[in-house]
Amino acid sequence: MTLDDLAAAVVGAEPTDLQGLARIHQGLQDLRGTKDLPDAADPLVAEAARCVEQIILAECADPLAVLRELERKVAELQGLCDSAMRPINTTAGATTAPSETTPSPAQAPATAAPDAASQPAARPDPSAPTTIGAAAGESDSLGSDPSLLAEFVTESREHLENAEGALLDLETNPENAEGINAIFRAFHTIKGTSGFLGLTRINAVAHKAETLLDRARKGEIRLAGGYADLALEATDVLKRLVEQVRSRLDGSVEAEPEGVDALLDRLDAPEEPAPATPAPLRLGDILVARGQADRRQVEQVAAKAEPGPIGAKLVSAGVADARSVAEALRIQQQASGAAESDATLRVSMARLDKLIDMVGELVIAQSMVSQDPLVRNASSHTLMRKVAQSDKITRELQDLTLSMRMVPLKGTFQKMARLVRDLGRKSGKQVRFVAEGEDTEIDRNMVDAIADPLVHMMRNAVDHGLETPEERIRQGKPPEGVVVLRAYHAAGKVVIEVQDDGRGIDPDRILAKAVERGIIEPGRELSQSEVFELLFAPGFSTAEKVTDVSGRGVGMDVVKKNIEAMRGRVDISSTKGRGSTFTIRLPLTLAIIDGMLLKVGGETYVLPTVNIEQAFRPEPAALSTVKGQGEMVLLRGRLVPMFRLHRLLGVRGACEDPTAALLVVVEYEGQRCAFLADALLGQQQVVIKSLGRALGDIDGVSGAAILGDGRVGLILDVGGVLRIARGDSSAGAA
Amino acid sequence: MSKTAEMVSSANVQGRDLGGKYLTFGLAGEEYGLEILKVREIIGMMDITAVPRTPEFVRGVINLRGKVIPVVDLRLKFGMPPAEATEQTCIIVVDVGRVEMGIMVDKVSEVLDIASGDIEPPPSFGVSVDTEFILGMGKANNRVTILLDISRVLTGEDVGEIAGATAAADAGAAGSGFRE
Repeated sequence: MTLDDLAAAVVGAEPTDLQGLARIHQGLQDLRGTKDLPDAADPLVAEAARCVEQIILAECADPLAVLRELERKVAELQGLCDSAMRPINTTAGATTAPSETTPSPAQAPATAAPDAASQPAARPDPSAPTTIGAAAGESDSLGSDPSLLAEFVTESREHLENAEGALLDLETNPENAEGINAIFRAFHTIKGTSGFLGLTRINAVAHKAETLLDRARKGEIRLAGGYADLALEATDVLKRLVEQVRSRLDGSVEAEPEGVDALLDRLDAPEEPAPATPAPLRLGDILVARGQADRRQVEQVAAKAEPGPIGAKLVSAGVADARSVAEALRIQQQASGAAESDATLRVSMARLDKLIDMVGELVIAQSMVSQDPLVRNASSHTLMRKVAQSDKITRELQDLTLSMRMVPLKGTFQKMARLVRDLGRKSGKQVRFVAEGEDTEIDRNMVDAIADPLVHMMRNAVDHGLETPEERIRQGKPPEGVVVLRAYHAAGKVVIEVQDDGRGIDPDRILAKAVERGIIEPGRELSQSEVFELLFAPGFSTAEKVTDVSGRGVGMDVVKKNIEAMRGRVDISSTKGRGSTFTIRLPLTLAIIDGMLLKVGGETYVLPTVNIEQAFRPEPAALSTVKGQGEMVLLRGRLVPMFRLHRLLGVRGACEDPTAALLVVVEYEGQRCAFLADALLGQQQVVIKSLGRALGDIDGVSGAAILGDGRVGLILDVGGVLRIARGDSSAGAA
Repeated sequence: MSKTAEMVSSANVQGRDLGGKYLTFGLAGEEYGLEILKVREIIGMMDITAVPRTPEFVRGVINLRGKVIPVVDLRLKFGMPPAEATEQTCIIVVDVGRVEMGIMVDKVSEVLDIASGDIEPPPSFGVSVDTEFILGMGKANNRVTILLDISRVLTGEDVGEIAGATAAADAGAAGSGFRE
């Protein structure tokens, strides 16, 4: 057991887990004899061993506190060990060679996790049977679970940002004890997690910085001047190290950031003056680090005060061959250019929305110009060409601005990965989580709205969908269940699929349950898709037992509601015994909808196309009035309620005779009804705008759109219109 | 300009010093004024899209360069008989607590500089407008102008649904993430 293994085991230890504690004790004993540790560490090892004994023998009142004590001691040991090993690293210098960036084998982070896993009562660890994110395939290069690492990166970024903020705040307010504590906590957390994940470099920096901050916390030093600079530098270096982990997670190999060793030295002796800031990556250093040149020779060449690029001089002096100099030059350029290629700029949502508004206006103004009879009938061919050209540019501009609101689903998917992993452990199932297409982009506003439904569906997949390992083996399946979260663009929509290879949905059981719950009357014949639709009925749950994960009968109806609120839809397909797939289809953006323009009297309304099933002009015979239920129309053998839009919306001068007008059949929450409108004016994509903040929510209207002629058209909210209709009819009945 | 701003803001703060520039407009034969700093712009009459299930004085919404804003007919708001729109009918876009709204008036007259000494408290009767909406009576060029407290007119109690809806819309916009 190496020290890092030991640290991992200690973090995962429980006071009641005697076996695990015994292993830690044994590990400590073994350490004493090895050369891994400097002699100075021996007393510390003895103290740590004593802590373990205390817990095992129940000699202490508060075993948890002793366990924390043990954790601290082992962390100190790691620190000692690191500083003892550092000379080796220093000789490696500013490492640019990829191999130097992986922690040295002696620290063996890759083995840390499995050892921890073998502890019976170990806390959540990265490599338990659920091989989450195995599909990502980077696990071996970093030695830890990619999803955990990704989480670590996100968390650390936050911590570092907080620490940085607090540090800057301390500049003006140096006595703020809470600020120092906040910084200390940030480093402490990063230290703990990085140790656990085997990220030794981050761990070392965080540990040393923590020591410095601890002194500030105790009032030994004031966190100002050089100390503050040092703390800020530690924050910066940690940031770079964390970003390095991030980029390696993404599969690219990046050199360890410079200055880590220098910083560690200075953290050890913060009172010494700081050396001058290192010059940017030098060509010679790169060559030396890559083993393509000898440092002494390079320095000799560089020392000669001849004009000209150093690369040429090195080649002509025969120190390095031209190819390796060219490669080194490339590396140097990458290092300095890396920061620029991915540069981003934060813009407030409000400003972006304003831009989109203005561009929308431009599109309308442009179309008014190009549709103007004077332009359309113009004899000048060049004018037409110019107008067509500016038409095209305007449209591209609109696409571009709208795409600025799009963000990848990656963050959401990562959350789901974590969720599935936790769920799997909780329910005792082996789950492999596969994420596909996490770069698929979706409107920023929808990211948050999609998370809740996805959580429900993931829970369903793990809790209801997948079987226990024993059950799976009985059915001839591999014990490990697979949950796939997949996203892609298709037909102008974002499609998100949640697929499991579990037991599938049994239509008979759903039917029985629905009858039992009184959702449908017994003896009704339903198609398979209609049966699956029952899952979305409020108060329906098929879980045999209610767990703390799911099965309380809220969920799928909420999922459906949330998705429909985003003008999307959910579909289920399932094969009994083979698994189920839930498919969510969402519009690319909430900012634009496909609408059908309806003429009602003098007004033009926009009805979302997603709600519309068909439109037709009824025969007189199809119309009837059912007592107590209002007007109905016969549609393919079924009576469908009919509502006159102009009455609901209070529009005068509309066509009263249905046989001379048009019925638009809409589907809402599984129910069908027909709206009477004067005419269809065509289909159009419209940018949704709020009705001005002064008006707020209006029943039956979900927003407004600027129509092609510059007028405002109201977008109808089918649910709201139906509520008006029902309210009116009940008022009429009363 | 800065002097005017000072004066008007002090008027707002103390509720006493009301002197400053007012935009005057005509409504059913009377002259009214509203603080110039609340005025965003004046636009001619344009197509108004009626919004169902709103009070009668809410004429509907217009497209103000891509922004959808509601328009209140001040005649209907004050319980005066409605009038046909003429060439002179205008919509004054005002800013009421970060919310833009349009008010429809018979005609826009001029910008008046009224010194605070020329402003008298609102009379208790004899005006066609609820005194609650009146800042004071301004005297300039031998005429009397009724100075309106336009924020109160548009967000006062009996337009509670507008004010309330505004708050709800703000909350909704913030909460649902469905802001456009």
